[in-house]
Amino acid sequence: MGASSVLARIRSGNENALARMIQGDPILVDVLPAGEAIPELAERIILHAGPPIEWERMCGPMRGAICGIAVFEGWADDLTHAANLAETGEFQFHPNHHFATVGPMTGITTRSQPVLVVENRAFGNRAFCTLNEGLGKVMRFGGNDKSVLERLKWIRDVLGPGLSDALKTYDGIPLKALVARGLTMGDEMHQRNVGSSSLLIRELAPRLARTVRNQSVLGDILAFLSANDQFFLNVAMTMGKSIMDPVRGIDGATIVTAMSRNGTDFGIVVSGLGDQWFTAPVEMPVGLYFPGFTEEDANPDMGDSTIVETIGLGGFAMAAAPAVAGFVGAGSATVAAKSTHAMGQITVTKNPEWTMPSLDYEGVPTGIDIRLVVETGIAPLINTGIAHRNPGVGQVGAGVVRAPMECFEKAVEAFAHSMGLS
Amino acid sequence: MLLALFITMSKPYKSKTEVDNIQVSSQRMLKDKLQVINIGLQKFADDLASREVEVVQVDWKPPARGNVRLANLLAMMSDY
Repeated sequence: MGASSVLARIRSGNENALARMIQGDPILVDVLPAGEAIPELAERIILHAGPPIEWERMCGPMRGAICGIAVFEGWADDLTHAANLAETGEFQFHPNHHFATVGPMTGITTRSQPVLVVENRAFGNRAFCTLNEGLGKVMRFGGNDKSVLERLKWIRDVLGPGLSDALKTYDGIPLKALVARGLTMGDEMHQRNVGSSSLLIRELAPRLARTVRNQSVLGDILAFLSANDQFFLNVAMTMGKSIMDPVRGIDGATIVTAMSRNGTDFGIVVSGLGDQWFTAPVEMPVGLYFPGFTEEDANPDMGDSTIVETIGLGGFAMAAAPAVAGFVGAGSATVAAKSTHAMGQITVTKNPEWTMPSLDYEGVPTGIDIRLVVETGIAPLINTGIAHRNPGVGQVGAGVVRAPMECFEKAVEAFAHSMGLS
Repeated sequence: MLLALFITMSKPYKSKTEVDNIQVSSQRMLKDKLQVINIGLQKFADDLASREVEVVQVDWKPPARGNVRLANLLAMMSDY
């Protein structure tokens, strides 16, 4: 194939990919049991964050969460029994991404957990993600004790059905406009979701008041939502997955459709290369730790939450959230602006609907191009939580991390090969 | 491989002859106030700045981190 036809194919593919990203119309429509939303999610199937991985190579928090969920689902009597079942191959492990799903940190998804349902009405696809459990000792950070499992039961039996009833009273909540407002309120939708969570609760509260009959239960639900600044993170992730799935598999497109990590490997997926993962060892986050913890306690980077960076938010929109730049140890507001501009060098457009006041309403950098990442040597910047390296402990800090350059170099090699270049 | 270039300018130049005269220029460079554009390693710019030399930093790295094979592949797949 001649050079000009290669370039024409790439240009056409990327134009199509970007148009699909910008045209996406994600609506939060429901909360359903995962087994109902994802019919393939049978007994003893466990979905996890990141690219494919087997039990033997899983990190501590991932193993901890798997043991916890096995007890929660009634597949194991206790954590030790669950670990034995995992070691003897009694569970099937698959990436969330293979089931139109995402999950933060360990990202464990099983059939009885309720999942957010976001419908991309421009293309008719749906995406799913579990509900945010709050901070501290939670399953997404590898927590698995009685308090963690009791909270999951409440989410399954009370919060999930309550939100489902409320959402069914109207035609869903459009998320693009909500995110646009959140950006103007200082959120970047990964480590800071204060504004967006508040806006969502403002939408939900009157509906909940009408649909939840028991006043005590209503109070519990509203208190849980109000106490969790990060509740919107999972909504933003579901939105991201719903936007990016229609961008998969476009001939000639060099745009990244997924970035994700399982605590051992970091993986990316590229539109023009189908659903193939390009992986490399995951890196350690650099950040700030809760009192009593240090980097010695930290687990390597983990979670599907990098889907928000894939759509131009999180570390890519750092300029919108100067408050979080300091929280994650990334520096001053000036450094936050520089970070966003650097991400502009590895993306092909700016999203006209998601703008940042601090950059004179410039759009967030959108459409990560593997060619630009490798050419410039600038790796995507990711805002992230930090889990303890041991099972059962939970979150110990927050920080920033870079996607490994090796993933993008492998993808460029494969893409060139697919174009007949060598 | 990282490259650090220092481009120095002594000002004001009064004539082309003066510019072309390397010896004179060198003397002026050492005598006049330096203005530096540093390309590449930030550390060089930081050191100059710490000595109150006026310096502008240009971030630059070799394409594809110096991997010639990848840089050649990118050249065949890029029109930017």
